[in-house]
Amino acid sequence: MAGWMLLSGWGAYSGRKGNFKSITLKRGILLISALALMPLVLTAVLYGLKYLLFPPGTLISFSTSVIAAFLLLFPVCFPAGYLFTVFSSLLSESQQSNLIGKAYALESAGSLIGGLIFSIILGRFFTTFQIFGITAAIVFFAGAELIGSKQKCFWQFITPGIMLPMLIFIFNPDAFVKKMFFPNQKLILNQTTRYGNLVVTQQAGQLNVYENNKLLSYTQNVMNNEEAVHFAMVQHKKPQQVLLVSGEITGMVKEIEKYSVKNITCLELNPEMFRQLKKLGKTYPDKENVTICRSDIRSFIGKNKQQYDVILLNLPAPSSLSLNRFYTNEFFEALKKRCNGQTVVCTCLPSTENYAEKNAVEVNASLWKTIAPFFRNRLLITGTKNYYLASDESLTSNITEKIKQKGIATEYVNAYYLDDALLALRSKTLISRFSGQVPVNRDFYPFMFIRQIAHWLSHFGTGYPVLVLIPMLLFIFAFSQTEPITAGLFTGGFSAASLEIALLLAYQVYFGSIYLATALFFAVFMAGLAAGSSLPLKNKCPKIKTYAFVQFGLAIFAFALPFLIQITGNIAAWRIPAQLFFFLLIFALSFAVGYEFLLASKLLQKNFSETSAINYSTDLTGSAFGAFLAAIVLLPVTGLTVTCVIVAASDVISGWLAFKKR
Amino acid sequence: MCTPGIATGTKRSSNKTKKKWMKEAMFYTETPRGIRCLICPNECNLKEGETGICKNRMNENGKLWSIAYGNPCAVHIDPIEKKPMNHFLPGTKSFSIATAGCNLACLNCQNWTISQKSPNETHNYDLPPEKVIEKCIEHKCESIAYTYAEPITFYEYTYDTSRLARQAGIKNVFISAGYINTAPLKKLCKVIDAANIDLKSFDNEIYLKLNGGELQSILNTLKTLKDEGVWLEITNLVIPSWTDDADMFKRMYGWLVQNGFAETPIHISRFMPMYKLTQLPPTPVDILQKASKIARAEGLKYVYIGNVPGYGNKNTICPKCGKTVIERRGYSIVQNHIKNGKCKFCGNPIVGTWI
Repeated sequence: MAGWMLLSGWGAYSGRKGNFKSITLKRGILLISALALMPLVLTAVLYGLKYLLFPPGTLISFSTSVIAAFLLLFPVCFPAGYLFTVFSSLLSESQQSNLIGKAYALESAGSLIGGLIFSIILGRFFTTFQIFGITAAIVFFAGAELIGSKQKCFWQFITPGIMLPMLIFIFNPDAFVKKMFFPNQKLILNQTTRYGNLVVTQQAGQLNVYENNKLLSYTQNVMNNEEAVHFAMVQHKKPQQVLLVSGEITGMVKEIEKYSVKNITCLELNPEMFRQLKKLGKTYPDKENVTICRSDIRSFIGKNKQQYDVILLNLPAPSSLSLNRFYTNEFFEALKKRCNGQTVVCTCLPSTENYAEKNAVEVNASLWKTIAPFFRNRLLITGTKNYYLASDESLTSNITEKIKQKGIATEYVNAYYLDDALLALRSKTLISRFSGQVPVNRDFYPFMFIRQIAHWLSHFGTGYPVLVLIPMLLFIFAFSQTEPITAGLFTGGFSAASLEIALLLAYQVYFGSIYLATALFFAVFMAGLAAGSSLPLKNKCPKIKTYAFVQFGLAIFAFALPFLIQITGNIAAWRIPAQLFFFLLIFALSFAVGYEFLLASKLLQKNFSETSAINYSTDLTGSAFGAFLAAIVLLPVTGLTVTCVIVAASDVISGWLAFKKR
Repeated sequence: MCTPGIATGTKRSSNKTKKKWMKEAMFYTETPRGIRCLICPNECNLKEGETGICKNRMNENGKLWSIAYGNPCAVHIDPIEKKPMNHFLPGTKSFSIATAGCNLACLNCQNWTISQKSPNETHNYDLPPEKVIEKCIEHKCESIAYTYAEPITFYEYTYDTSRLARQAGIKNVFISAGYINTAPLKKLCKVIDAANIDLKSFDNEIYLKLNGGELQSILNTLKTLKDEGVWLEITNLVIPSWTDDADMFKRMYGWLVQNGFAETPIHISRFMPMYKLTQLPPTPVDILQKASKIARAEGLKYVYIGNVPGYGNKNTICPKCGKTVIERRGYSIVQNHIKNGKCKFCGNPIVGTWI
């Protein structure tokens, strides 16, 4: 996202001295059409290069990902930014009036329509290539409409508009790509769901489930299935109600049933997985004692009133903000309400069986501390994963002894494989390295996420400080290059992107997955921008004081945001009003930024192309920094409140600069 | 900081503290550039102050130093079967140690947080060779395993500890990828008792791309260990789409038989997504079974499947009478029908070091 904004800003800025008189309507449409084809071409190139340069199944390093993203986005974003300067200048020149704000509004309106079409139709029912084919076709048809059917070149736009999606639907390049990336695996499902793209492959009887191209789970994993179930189940005297969060597909239900439970409630990270796999006959057969819930995990735990004897959480590590919400203080607080006095809760982190690297120690230590306030007893067992057990009843690490006492038949969790004393020794070794100073992991202060990112970066020898320091220094340098008008746009863009990321995080916390909601977020944001930048101005030359007050208004909004988010959290149970309030906040934010852009386009005393280029690029550069710094540095390191204070401070500074110039 | 029951934590924050764990390395020579380390086929040519590929051997003041001598980062007690070793003191415990560093860079390394780091980056323990012996005796372990990362990179520590262990009647087990030069290996063979070597593939290009090494050196290691009389077991980790080709299994197992390893136990092991190969699924069990069939068909006598609890190929079968001589469940022995190293049913010798 940050790369996209930076490159678009660069493209817009490079058009500041341009003479666009030679650009006719036909040429303009041709340029846009060429741009519409780019995502299709680049996606093919991206997949091709990935296949040729990186062996199957390998992680790609951070630096390679950044370079590849910039190289691949460049052919789309740079010309797109440049074309904004071209068209906004042409629009203004044709009317002999500064209509840059209107161009901005139109561009935002286009993005709004795109966002809506994606979230309602394209993202739900079509694959990547199909989406790009359809969007290119829409652009071709729009071009033909603008040219008019009487023109000779009319069919030059209509023909590819029909042919392109047709060819994509016939040859289905997505299926070809998936085959390429899952060698020796039979693709049995490739489905876009509202939680992400779901791929299921089969290889020699083993099922592998991928979400958004990441390996999520697999069958035939006896060790994990048994550890995840029995470490916790043996602790309870007579478990009757069990909540299984992720693991039904891998076969954990079969292990739980060894305890003659009354009911097993199953949830999955991607609830659509149940429906899709059921169609293929790959889930556990319908049984009276197994309840499948197609609900977001966090929402389910918040709303459901049932109490459970054992709660098993088998979720991936908190490597994203959306996963971090299952390891937070707020999550365990909600989970505790689903517990009775004897409930045993089990959650897990990746194994540090032989050695725990320092970031992994901090992730583990934070979880250990985070669960502490809610349960009287905690126990860590290091197996193929690090299992954290918590209960108000006593817990024992004598797992194999308990298994024997209860007469549970297992392949792996038994005295033949495991030595209780050695397990306890390994756990003690890890716990002895936990520092009491480590922070509690919270929804809006995701400490575990940031340590997990640092752990991931250490795969490639990249340090987290590099990721923080370079963008911070660039941010300060970029801000120092602005003058009062552009400073406002820069901090406005920074605020908009930072606060949008904060709102996205809050949305995930309160309402669940954001895969498709992101597009809706984007659409509402664009609607706000469009509305704000279309406001009629009383004076042709607005006062700079008004411009300064908009920035002070943004500062107040940023400052109040943590409280507004808290209000949303309090009313989250009323899903529709809460979500409406949420989207209202996004709209209000972007409305202010759109209005700010409109004012700046009138206040900057330069020619049309320069005004357009400078304003648009400054706004996007600020947004790029906001998107990157908020997601990677500010929110994880300082938390929501401090992030909002920093954003508010930046708006006060730029507002003050403008106010002084009045 | 104290690790309960095993060792005391250390800090390598200053040069002074780092020097405490430095010991002059054994195999190196001077070059116009500085020093060439001769411990492994990488043969790093190091300028003053430089550290080798393994991150564990450094040129300082014109000498090569092993920089984590007596300073391991992983200290655990494991069943010997976990190494995996099925024919060497079965049912016993092994005191297992490792320092940071490795001379390979396997994309699938399960211990990458140790192997791809320098000892200066890891949390280490103060455990000189004498203390290792002490702790090993205290915890009633019959052997010391030099394992997890790559003992070749902490060669001097391995060598000195093994020498002392021998004197104390403790066995030494070398768990390695086998990427070592012949001279240091021959010297080491004088003090170690058993080894498990990873034979990661049978293709030089895969060895280069997947592990950063080359095949021939590993094959030489296998031959040397055998010639020097060290008890040897081999692990072949099968990675989907990298090393799961049936033709390669055939060539690999065929070579082993032709070169006198028919009686060497082989552990065909399941890959789990690790390090930089986290987007590959684990090896399907059927593929492991197919590999084990090929191994038997080629003439290997002791074939085991590893990392898959609940599936067959755990027991030791007498190659002559076909009866189960050791029945295993997990890392434990349920029944043992080997007497004086021979099958109780037919008297056929079963190779290994038995209690």
